[in-house]
Amino acid sequence: MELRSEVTALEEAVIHVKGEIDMNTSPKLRDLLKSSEAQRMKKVTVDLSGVTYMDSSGIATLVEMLQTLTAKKGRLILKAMKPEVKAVFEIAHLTEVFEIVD
Amino acid sequence: MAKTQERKKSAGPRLRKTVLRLAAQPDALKVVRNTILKEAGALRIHPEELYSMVLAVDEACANVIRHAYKDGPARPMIIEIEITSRQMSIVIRDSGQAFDFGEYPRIPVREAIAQRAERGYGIQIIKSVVDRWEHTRTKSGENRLRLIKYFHPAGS
Repeated sequence: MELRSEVTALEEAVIHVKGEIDMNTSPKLRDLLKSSEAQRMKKVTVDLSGVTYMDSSGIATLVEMLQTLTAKKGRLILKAMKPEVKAVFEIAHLTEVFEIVD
Repeated sequence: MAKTQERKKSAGPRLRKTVLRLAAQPDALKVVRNTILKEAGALRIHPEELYSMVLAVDEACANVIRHAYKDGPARPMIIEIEITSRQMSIVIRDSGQAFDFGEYPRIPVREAIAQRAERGYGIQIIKSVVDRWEHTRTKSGENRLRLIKYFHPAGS
């Protein structure tokens, strides 16, 4: 899994993820989302266009970030999911919990 | 990562049988996923159904890694894979801590989130995906979880 983050505005960041998110790789994403820089953001967009697989460890990581941002009235946006990744959110009935955009 | 794989002679022309013996550690998950996808590749299985079953097996194996062997070094887990174009049966075996797969209630994941739970989605995903599951704890101290999914004909 590859990660790249960019600050796009004051308190706004985009995180680009590429590859597979599973129990083996999700700690890397979690570390990035828990970093002090990410924690300062109020709007985080996670670009998932390069993600080909995600399991519940990825979901748990994103849920944790959602809770953090919601607590400070921020936003977590999940962008450009492939159908097979969106299917995981549908199986878990999470499509209405997250803000998902094309 | 130590692993062995053996492919048994199939009982029928469309039955694919494979047994994986892997150290129960996170990098085994990709091996399991790729093996299922490879074995299923020659069969006409609807991609969404195949993907969902791969996810369920991944979650079951992650559960072994995360819970069954949580108090020690990685020990083996055995994954028995049987696939036809009509169904997939996967048995995941480990000798770790006993657990009662059935005790995890099938509650909406959204409810889990409302309770601010950050874990516990895996078993719920498994139960949502598979058509049948059987969990046994053998007298020899082995957990055996069988997951079965029936496939609709591809293109239907």
